[in-house]
Amino acid sequence: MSSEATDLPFMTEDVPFDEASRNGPAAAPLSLLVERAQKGDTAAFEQIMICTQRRVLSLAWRLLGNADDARDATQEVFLRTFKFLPRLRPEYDLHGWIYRVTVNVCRDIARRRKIGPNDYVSIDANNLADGLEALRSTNDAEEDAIVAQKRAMIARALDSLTARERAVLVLRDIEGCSTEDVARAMGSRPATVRSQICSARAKIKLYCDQLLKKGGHQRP
Amino acid sequence: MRTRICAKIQEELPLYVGGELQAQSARRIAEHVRDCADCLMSADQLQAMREDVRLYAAHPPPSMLDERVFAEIRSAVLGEIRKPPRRYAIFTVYSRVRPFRLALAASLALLLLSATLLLTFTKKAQQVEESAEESTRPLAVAVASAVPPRVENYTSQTTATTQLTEKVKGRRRPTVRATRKAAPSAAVERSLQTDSVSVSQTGTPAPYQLLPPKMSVAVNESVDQTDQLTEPEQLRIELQTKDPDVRIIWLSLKTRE
Repeated sequence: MSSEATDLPFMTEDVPFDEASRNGPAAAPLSLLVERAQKGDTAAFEQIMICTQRRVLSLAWRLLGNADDARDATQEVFLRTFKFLPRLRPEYDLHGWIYRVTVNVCRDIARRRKIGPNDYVSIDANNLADGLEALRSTNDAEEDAIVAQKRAMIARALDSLTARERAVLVLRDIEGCSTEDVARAMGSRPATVRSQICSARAKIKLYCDQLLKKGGHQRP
Repeated sequence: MRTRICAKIQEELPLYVGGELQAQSARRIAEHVRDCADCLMSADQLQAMREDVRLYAAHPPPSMLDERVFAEIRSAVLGEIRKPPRRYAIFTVYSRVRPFRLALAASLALLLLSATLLLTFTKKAQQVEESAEESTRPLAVAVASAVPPRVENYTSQTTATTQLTEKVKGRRRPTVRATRKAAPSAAVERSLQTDSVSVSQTGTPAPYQLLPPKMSVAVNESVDQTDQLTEPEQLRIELQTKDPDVRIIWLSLKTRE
């Protein structure tokens, strides 16, 4: 509990290319791709996109809570990445950099669309059904209902957060970043991030408690 | 007492379950949670909630992660990248004149230089003209006065009596006339009606229009010095005007034939 590093098994599941390119022998080809892309090679950049697209899209979806916004954000992230790729020094980590770009783009989109607490259109019925499909490990209808209920509750609880609270919670609890990394990505101090994380968790717990007391997952 | 401690612990529990607290604080809370059932339950709930968030909010819907979606995104990005950059009109003009940029820059520099020189010379010429004009005015009086009129019948005995007629009585403006009795060769005449002073010489045209019309030299009513013959051959007439800086001096030298 004292360690900030957390195991996030779904991360490797989501981004096999990322992990392979970060840790394995495939890291060298990625740096070569970056080098070529920096010189304007669009084919090399396309390969970089293929390596990182799942992670970028997933993170954008987690941060924005909306499929359309997440797609727009992903597109914008890659455009910005290509534009500023020549500035990336060889010693910098491409993934960390794209990660920060994604957070910034999502923050910009949230600000532009004035997404505040309770303004997220996070998970609509279709997405919920998709999620249920993904999570379904058994055909038990009762278990499906419980999973759907929990997913909807968490989604709405996340909707009740502010954009910054949601971002720090996603980065810390879902993406598994350290507090310092979250602070770097958000452009703030670790103490501020801790305060926002604390507030976000407390709000989610309060929201869930209220829903459970009412006996349903409707909005209070 | 117990409640107050619990309230404080509850505030820190969200950070405790995430492992963001310092070791000392975490140890203190762990000890408290071991003995306090309410706080333990809260910590468990927070931990469960955290797990739920990881589990249910981490996975985007599978339809979103379809390869077609990614292909669309990639093609949109690549299309945008491969599109020629938008050029503004000014850049288009610049690209056209770019081959001649050196010549253009040189001609612009030349133009600027010539304009600067022209301005400088014009200014200097104006200054010279102004200074000449300024120096000419009082000088003109002096020069005009210093130029002796050619007197034919001048004798030292007459000593150049100058009559100064002054009419200051009443409202009539004074007319000053300086004449030489024996040889009325020159006359300083000022007509205040026209606000001009002219030095006229008999037989010769007035050499200068001494003052501009508005200068209003206004020969003082008390023309103090008239004929001052310091030497028999020299005639000197001084007229003090109202302006203390302006004094009309007329020197006349006898020319011996």
